[in-house]
Amino acid sequence: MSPENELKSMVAAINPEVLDKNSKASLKLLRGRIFHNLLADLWQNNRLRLAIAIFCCTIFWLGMFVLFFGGFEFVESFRLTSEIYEYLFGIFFFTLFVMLFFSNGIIIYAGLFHSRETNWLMTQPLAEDRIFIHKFVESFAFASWGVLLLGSPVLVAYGLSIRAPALFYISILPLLIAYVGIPAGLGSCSAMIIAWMVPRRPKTILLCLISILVFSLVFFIWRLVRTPGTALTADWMDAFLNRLQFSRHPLLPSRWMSFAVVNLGTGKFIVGLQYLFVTITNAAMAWLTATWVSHKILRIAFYRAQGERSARRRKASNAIDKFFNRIFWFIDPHVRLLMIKDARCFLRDPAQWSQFIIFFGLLAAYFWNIRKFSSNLDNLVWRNLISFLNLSVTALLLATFTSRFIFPMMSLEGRNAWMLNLLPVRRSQILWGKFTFSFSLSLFASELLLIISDLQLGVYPAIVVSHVLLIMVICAGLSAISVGLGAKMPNYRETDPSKIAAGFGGTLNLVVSLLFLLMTIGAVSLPCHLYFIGIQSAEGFRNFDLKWSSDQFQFWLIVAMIFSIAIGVLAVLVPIRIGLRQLAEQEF
Amino acid sequence: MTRTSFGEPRIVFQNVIKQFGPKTAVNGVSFEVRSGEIFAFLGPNGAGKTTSIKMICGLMKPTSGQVLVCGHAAGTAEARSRIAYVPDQPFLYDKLTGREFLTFVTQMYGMPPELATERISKYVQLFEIEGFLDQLCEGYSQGMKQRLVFASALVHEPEVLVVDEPFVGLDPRSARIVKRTFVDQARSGVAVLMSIHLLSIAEDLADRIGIINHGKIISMGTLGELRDNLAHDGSLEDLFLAITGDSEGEPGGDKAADAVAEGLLP
Repeated sequence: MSPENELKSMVAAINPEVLDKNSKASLKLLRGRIFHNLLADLWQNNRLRLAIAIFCCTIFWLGMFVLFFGGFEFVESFRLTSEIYEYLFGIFFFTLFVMLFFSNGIIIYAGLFHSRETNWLMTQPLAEDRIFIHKFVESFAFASWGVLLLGSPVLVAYGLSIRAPALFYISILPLLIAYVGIPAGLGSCSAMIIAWMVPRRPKTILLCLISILVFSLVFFIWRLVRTPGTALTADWMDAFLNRLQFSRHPLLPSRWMSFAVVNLGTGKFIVGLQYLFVTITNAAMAWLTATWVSHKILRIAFYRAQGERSARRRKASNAIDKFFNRIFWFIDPHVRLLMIKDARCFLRDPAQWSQFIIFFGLLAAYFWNIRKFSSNLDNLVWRNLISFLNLSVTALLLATFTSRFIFPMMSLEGRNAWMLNLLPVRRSQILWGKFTFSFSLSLFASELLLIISDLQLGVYPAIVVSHVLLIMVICAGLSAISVGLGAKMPNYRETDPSKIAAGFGGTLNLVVSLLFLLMTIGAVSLPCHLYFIGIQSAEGFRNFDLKWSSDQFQFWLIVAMIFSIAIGVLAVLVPIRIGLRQLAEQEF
Repeated sequence: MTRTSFGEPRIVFQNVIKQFGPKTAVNGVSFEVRSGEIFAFLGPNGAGKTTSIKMICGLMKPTSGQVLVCGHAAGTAEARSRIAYVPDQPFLYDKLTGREFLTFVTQMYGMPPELATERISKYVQLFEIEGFLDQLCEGYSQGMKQRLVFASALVHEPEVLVVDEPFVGLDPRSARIVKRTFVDQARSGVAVLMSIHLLSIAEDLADRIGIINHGKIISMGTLGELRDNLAHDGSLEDLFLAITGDSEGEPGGDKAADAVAEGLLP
């Protein structure tokens, strides 16, 4: 090419239209190549990982489907009006909306204002709105994938339970994808506006929003559990639904979704399609608005977010340090120091502790009001069942917590290996420090929850003791699995803990944790259930001829506890041993 | 040998102030880098070098003052299409090969495919990266990454090259290639601004040197001019330590401040 033509092409690149065309084409190609290479890499080098990921997703999908199909069949047996489904889906999609709004907002904020990629893209001749779209597509694809995995089994189960026509199943995909677009667009706009208007305090704003959300949720649950009247009677149901009336506000996207789902499912295609198109057009509008906002303010917001960070000074020592030093006085001082370091990192990252507090806080609010939720608590079988369900929910939450926050810790520590390696501590002490940190934090929170639940339910003292012991075993096991496997399968390249947790190691960690919970909780819950079902009949359960005496029950409970403790000891020793061996041989 | 005649100003920094809350990172800095010139930015850690560079590249906006690149305000599309920036911690897409990354860059600049292929081939040879060009970037060493980033920065043949700590992670051979590239680029009319800690390289390569401390340019000129201004006949290292106040027993910061006050230094 002649120099003149070269020059022309360079000058053309500065023309806004050509700039936009170049930006669009090159970023599209970039995403395509990255996606292709990622799949090729998975196929060539990580087939086992790919197979496990597909297997886990399939199991999850089927599990969700079976659970919801059973639920919908149960609801169908009452021959209720479709209005009930509108309420159910209204609440479901509203919850999803709030979660997607926050998750997309946070992902877009981090992706636009705290990523090295955007730092680099901003120096290139790319239009700002194209950079935004590039990051938005990433976040949108991530969210859509999650919503499809969660929403499709629910909708398919609903469709099958009411024998919906084919058009209903065809519309599931566009419905769910369009629905993600609305909170994703709004969350992205909010993220850019926050960076533009309050660049120094994005975390404070996030905390305020989360606090408002938690307060609203607690208030909502509180109102629901205080619905007057006897549960499941017609009057009570009217009053209960009345308190869910907000989910039917005509301006809420969750209402459009619930109406589209229910009407398409029951063959009212005109109304159903009308709501489907309302959702799609609003998603398109949200996306356009976000793109327009990015065109107007992204660069200014970027400047502000880069240049206006808080210079807040932190105290070298505080009450938390003293607290740790006092309660862990018996632990080696070096390990204690490592624990204090982890505690500081944990407390200074609101993304970590806010999630912990939200979920545990909501569970505590639910457990506190447990008696209001069910009229069956006088029945020993149900009371026992609910107490074990509460234990299971707490344990599942702990498993996700350890997989999300504890598992990545060793990977993140590996980046500082140059320093930790030279410290006067053994590598094993680093691992034990992480274990103790995780164990103590989770033990404190979960024991508190379980005791609230059992006291409110008024379960047998022997079962309270078994729960207290069992949750201790669970905390130790889950912490050891996450710390041990975290050391065995580190990812030293990744700096984002959520990506480490979402990787193969993190997924495997979650699967192992769930298997561990199944064995430990299953072992203890079985004799309890068999005992109570033998002494009292309960609606919905078959009568058993097996009638244990109190002594026999205690014997089998002790046997089950010993079994669970043995599994717990194995769950602590085996992963920690694997982790220690890996760590001893690890080259950084 | 220091060259003295250069072309039009390509980077213009005029009374630039950058504040982060109460802290002033860059305080009234003014300088120019002309076409064909290699300008070295020296200064201790936290002096304001990277902040200044980020303002030139459009990653930060000055609180007051003006930053122009080839006559256009820094950060505008016009300025960005004429500048190349190599940061101290370069960014690469792990799941792209080196070739795919270079192709992506040429597409962003709207280069026709034939020209892109020709340029990629040229810089691949120059930086000796053909051996690993078709492997994913995630497997590259620091030096390999750095060489690829240099190739990607130059592939669109910018008018201004801004480099932050260019020799971090480079082996002697790669460092020599990069040094030679700076000189070749400058001779072809590119304005090169580099922020650097290695004083010997600034001494070897730079046509002019700006020493920045506490957000202010405390000395600027050719090596000879710096020596004359401070009546110092030692190495650049001695001169730098004298100016920035790290010399043994010499409160150089004060000395420099005095020199500024007396009008000996800009």
